[in-house]
Amino acid sequence: MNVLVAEDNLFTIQQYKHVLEKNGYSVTTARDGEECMQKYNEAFLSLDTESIESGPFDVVLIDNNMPKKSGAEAVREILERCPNQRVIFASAYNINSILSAPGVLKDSVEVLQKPFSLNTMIAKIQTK
Amino acid sequence: MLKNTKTSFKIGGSVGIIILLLGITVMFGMYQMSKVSNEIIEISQEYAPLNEIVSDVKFQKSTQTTSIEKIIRYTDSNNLLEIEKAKEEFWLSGEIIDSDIERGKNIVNVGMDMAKSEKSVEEFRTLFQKISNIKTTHEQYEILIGDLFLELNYLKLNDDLLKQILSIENQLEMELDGMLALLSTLADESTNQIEDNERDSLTGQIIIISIVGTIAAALGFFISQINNDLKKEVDLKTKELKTANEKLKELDRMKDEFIEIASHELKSPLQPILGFAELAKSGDIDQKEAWDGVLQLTSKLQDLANAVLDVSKIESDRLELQLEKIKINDLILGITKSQKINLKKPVIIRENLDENIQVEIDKMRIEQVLRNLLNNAMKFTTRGTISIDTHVYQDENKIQIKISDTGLGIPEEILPKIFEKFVTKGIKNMEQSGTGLGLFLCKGIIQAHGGEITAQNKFDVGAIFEFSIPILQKNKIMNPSQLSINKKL
Repeated sequence: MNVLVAEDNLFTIQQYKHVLEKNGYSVTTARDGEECMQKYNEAFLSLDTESIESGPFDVVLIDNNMPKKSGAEAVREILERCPNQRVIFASAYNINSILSAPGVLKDSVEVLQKPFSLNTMIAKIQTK
Repeated sequence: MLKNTKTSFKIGGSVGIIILLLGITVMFGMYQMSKVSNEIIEISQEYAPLNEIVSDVKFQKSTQTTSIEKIIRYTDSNNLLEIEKAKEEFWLSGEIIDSDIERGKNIVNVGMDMAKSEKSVEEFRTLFQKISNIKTTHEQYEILIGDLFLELNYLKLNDDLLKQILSIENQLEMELDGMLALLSTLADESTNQIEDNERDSLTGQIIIISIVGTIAAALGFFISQINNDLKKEVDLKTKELKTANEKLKELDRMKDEFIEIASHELKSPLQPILGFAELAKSGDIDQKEAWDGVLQLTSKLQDLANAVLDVSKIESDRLELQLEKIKINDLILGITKSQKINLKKPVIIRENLDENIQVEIDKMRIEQVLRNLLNNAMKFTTRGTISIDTHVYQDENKIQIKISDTGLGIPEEILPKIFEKFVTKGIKNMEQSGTGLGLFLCKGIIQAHGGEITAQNKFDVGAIFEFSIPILQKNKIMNPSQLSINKKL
C-alpha cells in the first residue's frame, strides 16, 4: 500500500515513516503543502485511467498547519483532482475548525487528533 | 453617569420651580382678595346703617317741625287737647332722634376701631364730629322749642325766638344734609376703592401669571434644550458603547484565535514526544536518540510556554521591567561572543558599535530582544554577514540598534504584520521554526521601554531590524498605557 505523508515536523515525519514501513507500507514524504502537491501530482501522472478517481495513494496522511500551503488547501486540490482519494487529517487543531475550513469536504475526510499513538494511526489507516 | 444625573437634576429643578411659582401666584392672589374684603368691605358696610340713621333723624326732625306747626296753629284756636298731643309727638320724635344719634355714634366708633389706614380713621373722625355737631344743634333746637312752649303757655309768640328756631332748624337741616352727602361720597369712594383694589389685584395676578407663563415657556425651551443635550449624550454613549463592544468582540476573537494557535503549538511537540516514547519502548529506535529528541522537544515546549506567558503579560499590561544601568556595548558583545561560538555556517558577525554608554534598561528583556533578532538573522542567513550597529543620540536621549543580515529577507506579504503573533509560522522549514511569538515579544518589550521597533528588507539581499530605546527612562515605573502593543506595525 502507498501512503503519502505530509508533515513539517522532522521528528514526526521520521516516526510516521518508520512505523508505516515497519507495517509494510510504501511511504512518500513531503515537508510542506507545496511539496505534498508536487509529490501527489507526480504520482497522479503515472496513474492508469481506472484508478483516477481513487487517486494515486491508498491514503494521504496530512498535517493541516504546514509551510507554503496549508493541509486544508492541499486536500481541496487533491479532492478536486481525485474525488475518492482517501485523506486522513493529522492535526493538533480543533477538529471542528478544520472541518469548517473552506474547501474541506466533511464527509470524505477522516481526522486524527494530535497527539495520538502511532499504533492508533496504523489502526486508523488499516481500517476502511 | 455624572452628566446624566446633572441633566435629571436640571429637569427636576425646572419643573419644581414652575410648580413653586404657580403656587406663589395663587397664594398671593388669595391674600390680595382677603386683604380687600377684610378692610374696605367691612368699613363700607358701616356707611349704610349710618345713612339710614341720619335719614331717620331727618325724618323725625321734619315730624318735629310738623308738630311745632300744629302746636302754633292749635294755640291760635286754643285747642289744648291737640296741643298736648302735638307736644307728645314732638318729644317722642326728639327721643327717637337722640336714640338715633347715639346709635350713629356707636357705629362711627366701631368703624373707627376697624379702620387701619390713616385715611379711614380721618374719615370716621369727621363723621363723629358731624354727628356730634348734629347732636349739639338738635339739643339747642330742643332748648329753644322748650322756651317756645313756655311762651305759648302764656299765649305769646316771641318773633325773635321764632327767628332763632328757624335759624337753628336750617342749621340742623344743613348739617343733616351735609352728613348725608358725606356718607354718600364715602360710600361711593369705598365702592370705587374696592373696584380699584380688585382691579389692581387682578392686574397683579395677570402680571404674575404672565411672568410665570413666560418663565414656564423659557423653562420649557430650556428643558427641551436639555432634552436635546440628553439625546445627544445618549446617542454619543450608545455610539461609544457600540465601538467599545465591537472592540471587545475583536479582542475576544483575537484572544480565541491566540488560544487556538497557542494550544496547537503546545500540542504539536507532544506528538513526536509520544512517538519517541512508543518507538523507544518497542525497541524500534535507540534509547539515546529517543531521549535526545524528547529533550529537544521539551526545551522547545518550555520556550513556548514562557513566550505564551510573556504574551499574556504584555497584552494585560503586566510586563514589569527591572530597570538598571547597563553598558550597552558590553551587553551586545557578551551575546555575540556566545553566538559566534555556536556558529556553524559561513557567516560573519560584525559589531559596529558607538560609544559604550550606560543605558537604563531591563537587562534580561533587552538581552531577550537582541538574542531573538540575532537568532532570526542567523536562521535565515546561510552565508554572508550579520551586522550589529549602534548609534547614540545623546540630545534625543536615545540609542538606536540595528541588526542587518544577508539572508532570505522577509516575504512581502508577511512584512506588514511581521510583529503580530504567529504570523511567521508557516514560512519557515523545521530548522527555522520558532515559537512564532518572538517578534511580538520584541515589540512589546521595546515599547515597554518607551521605544519603537521596525523591520524592512534591504534593497539587495537580507533584512534589517532596527529598534531605539531611551538612554534614561523618564518614568522609573512604566505607565501601562505605554505597553499597548497594537499600535502601528
